[in-house]
Formats: sequence, structure tokens, C-alpha cells
Amino acid sequence: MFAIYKKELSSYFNSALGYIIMALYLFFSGYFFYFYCFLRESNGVINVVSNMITIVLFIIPLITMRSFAEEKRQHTDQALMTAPISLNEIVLGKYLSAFTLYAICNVFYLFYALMLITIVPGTSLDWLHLLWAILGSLLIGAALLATNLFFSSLTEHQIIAAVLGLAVGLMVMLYEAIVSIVEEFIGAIFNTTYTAVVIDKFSFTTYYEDFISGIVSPVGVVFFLSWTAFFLFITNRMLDRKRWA
Amino acid sequence: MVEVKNLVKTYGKINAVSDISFTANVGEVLGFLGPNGAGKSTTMNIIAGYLSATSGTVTIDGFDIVDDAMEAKKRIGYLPEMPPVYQDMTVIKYLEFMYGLKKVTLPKEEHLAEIMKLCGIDVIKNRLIRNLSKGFKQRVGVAQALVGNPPVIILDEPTVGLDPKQIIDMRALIKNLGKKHAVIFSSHVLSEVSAVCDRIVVISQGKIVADEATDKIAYMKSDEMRLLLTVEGNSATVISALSSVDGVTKVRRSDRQNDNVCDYNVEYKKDVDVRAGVFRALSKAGCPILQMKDAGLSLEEMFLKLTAPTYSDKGGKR
Repeated sequence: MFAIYKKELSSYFNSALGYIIMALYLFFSGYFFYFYCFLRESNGVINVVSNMITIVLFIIPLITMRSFAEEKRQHTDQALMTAPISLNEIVLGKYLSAFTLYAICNVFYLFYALMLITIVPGTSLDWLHLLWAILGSLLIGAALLATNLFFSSLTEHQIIAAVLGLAVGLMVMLYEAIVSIVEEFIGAIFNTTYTAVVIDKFSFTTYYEDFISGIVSPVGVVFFLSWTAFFLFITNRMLDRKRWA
Repeated sequence: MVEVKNLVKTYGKINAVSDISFTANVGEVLGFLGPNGAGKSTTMNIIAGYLSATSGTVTIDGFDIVDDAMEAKKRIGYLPEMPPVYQDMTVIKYLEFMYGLKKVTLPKEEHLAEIMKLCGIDVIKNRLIRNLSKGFKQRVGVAQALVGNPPVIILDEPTVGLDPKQIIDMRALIKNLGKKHAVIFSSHVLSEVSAVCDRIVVISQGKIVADEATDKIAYMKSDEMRLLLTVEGNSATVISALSSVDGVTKVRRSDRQNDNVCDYNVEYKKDVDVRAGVFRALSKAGCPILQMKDAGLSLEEMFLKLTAPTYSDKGGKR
């Protein structure tokens, strides 16, 4: 597993991809930081984290689109699948390296916070709140990375994997709206008022908002972690299925 | 070392491999020969554990490739049809990655240096694989298979795309590997297989049609034996002299070297040795023999005979 982890991580930084992702992350978070912390003069590093979610949804497909698609296209999956390692090691190695890149991006928030308290003397900052928000950002990222890793295992074209990931990103962003449309639609058919009780439990943004507003509740943690585990599992199954096809 | 039993692989209704069984041992180079699309790569992918068989078993040193995958895969070095190399890595970085991936415990630097020397890629170890020629990529692919010094080495068409010098080197390398490993190596080039392998398994339409030692395989399918002659003298005289020999069934002039010297192709019955008779007859006719060679069917002819499509098969010709 460690060999794959190391190889993946160094491939991010041996190509432009790792730098492009970090640059995008820095550019947008820098813009939000400037906007909230200097123009608005609020202690809004939390606001930066909060607003970055829309960007993160579209950056994450870029991180994982290559993972399995490119292996298949270059036929290097044959080396991985015939090596004495388990599918779990392959999936986890790839996943953890993608997560590491994402986690590095999240470290930037701490720099913004440090910058803020050094440049503007007398700023008070709720570090615990900020760390909780960053944890939320890490968790939602973890869940989305697992989802996108799965998409990468479906195809040998990175673009298809990325497009699927972007579609999911859009769905996550518009989830509330989608749920209410479904509610109205079903309500109209059966001529009653209908409230979706199960599908609204899958709203990424609702859980994320909890983290941002500092609400300490384990539900979000459990949700994101189980989502991650589920997608890693079906990625594993998808790779295994290829052997039988 | 490698035991393949009743291997079957179907894709939907198409039989890619049907009921293949053979064994390969350490100290042996096994040639896997067949026309394109015969099922060579599929079989090799199954042996290496990349694909799963529909039915049948593969055991490596007693370990099943499905049930004991870890132990079995530790004992296999595999070069697929396309070398599984990462274009954006240098040769040495790639081999170091494969060393880690295969969880090898041999001393790293010496082991990799030895392999690179063996494959003749030590001079290019710091170059990006992307920039290497096809021949070098192929050799990096072979090197990768050797990492960890596995007892079983599977090479799928390792000489495709190499220049003649590289092909000679590759054959020498494979022969050399055959001393200490069980090597299974596939090709559709006959001369190559006969030059390198101790044993040949011929596969056609997913079935084994021959499994024989290389020197025996050419005699397998023929009831007739053959003599290749170069004789000086009038060809009508030579042919009539040859035809009069006991046991000779057919004489044909195959080539004219100059006005007076021709090559002849003499077929004779399997259990008669006609060589002394041929000598006497030609000597009597006053035609000196410049060259005489006993030969079975050429490997090419044998191959065509063995792999001639049988359309009645359910698998069918694809």
C-alpha cells in the first residue's frame, strides 16, 4: 500500500496537476479571504472555509479523475493487479494519496488565520471553532474523493470520470432544491403535501453547515465516514468485477 | 512449478479459451505459440491472476492463483502484451516502485542494478520512460517482471516491435532465464519459438493442438519424411535416379542455383532410411551430391497444419 501511496503522491507533484489544484485552491480561498477578512473586516476565516465548499465540489473531480482511468488506459493496472497486494491496498493507497493532497490544501486555512492575527493586531480568533470547520471540510472532501475515485474506476477516460464527478458536485450543491422539486412533484401527483423524510438525510451541505456553525454533532461525522467507506468498498468491487468481465 | 488445469474462459457466448491444460517447470522455457487471437494473452492473463477463469485452476508452486493469490503472485513475474510502465517515471524510479509494490526483501540497490545490467538498461536508468524507444520500453517491461527474482516468468510476446539486434539479445536473455526459472513465453513467430524454447505448446482457437519438445514437434503431424538435396547434374537425370530409390515417394526440384546445380525435395516413407540408396543411385548416374539434409516438415508447415481452422467447432473462427 505504501508503495502505491508514495507513487501516487509523487505523480501529483511530478506533473502539473498537483500544483494546478493547489493553485486553484489558493486562488479562490485567497479571494474569499481578501473579501471577508479585509473588505468586510470580519474575523471570517470560517467564512472562507464555508464559501470554499462550492469550489471544492469542482476541484475534487480533478484530483481523482486520473487514479484508475489512467492506469487502465496505459495498461499499468496489469502490473498492479498481478502484484502480490490486495485490492484494498490498491484502493486505499490511491485514496489516501488523493486525500493527502486535499488535506494539504486545507492547511492553507491555518495560514490565513495566522496571517490575520499577525497583520491585524487585537484580532480574536476562536481556534476550536475554526478547527471544527476545517474538520468538516476534510470530511466532506473525504466523502467526495471516495465517490470520485469510484467514478475513475468505471472508465478509462479521465474526462468521463471528471464529468461524472462534476455532475455529483452540482447535485450536492443543488440538493435542497432537488429535494423540494421531488416533494412538489410527488405531492402534485398524489394531490397531497409530501415531505421527503429519507432523501433529505443525504444532504451534504446541511451536515457541512453544522460544522461551519460550530455545532458539535456526531451525525455528520458518521454520515461522511460511512459514505466514504461505502464508496471505497464499491470501488474495490468494481475493480474485482473487471477480472470476470 | 506452473500447473494449468482445464482452463476455460468465455466472454458471453465466445469461447476465448477452452479446456487448456499444461505444466511448466523450473529450468524450462515453454513456448506458447498460436496465431493472433488464439487465446494466448487471455491464458497468460489468467495464469498471472489479472483475469479470472470461467472454470479450471492455475497453481503456482502449489498455491492457487485465486485462493492463495498473494503467495502465488509473489512467485510470478509478468510482462503483459503492453509493458505496464508509467510514462512519467524514470527507469530507476519505476523499478524502485515495482520493488516496493512486490514487497521484495532482497537488498534493493544490488538487486535492481543486477536486473538492469541483465536487461541492458543500466545506461538509460535516469531517463524518462516516455522518451524511450519501443525496444527499451519492452526491456524495462522485462526488467519489471524480474524484480523480486520470481521462479515463474511469463512473457507475452516480448520481442514484438524490437529491431533484429534487440530480438537476438532478447532471445539470449530468455534462454538464459530459462536456466533458473520456469519461463512461459508467447509468440506468433515460429523461428523464434523454435530457437528459444525447449517445449512448445501450440494453441489455436482457444485449444491446445500440440504440446511437444521442440525437436520432436516438426515430425509430429507427418507420415512422410523429407530429404533436402543439392545435386550437380542434369535435373531430368537426377530426378529419375532419385525416383528409382526404394522408399522414395516423391521428388521435386525446389530451386535452381545455376545451370547445372539444383536443390531437390525428396519425400520418403517414415520408417525407411533412404540416404544410402540415394547416394548410390546418384553416384551411379554420375551426379555428385553437394549437400544432403534430413528434415521433417518445416515448423511453418507444421504450424499451418495444426492451426488450420476447423469451422465445425462451436467456438467458431472469429
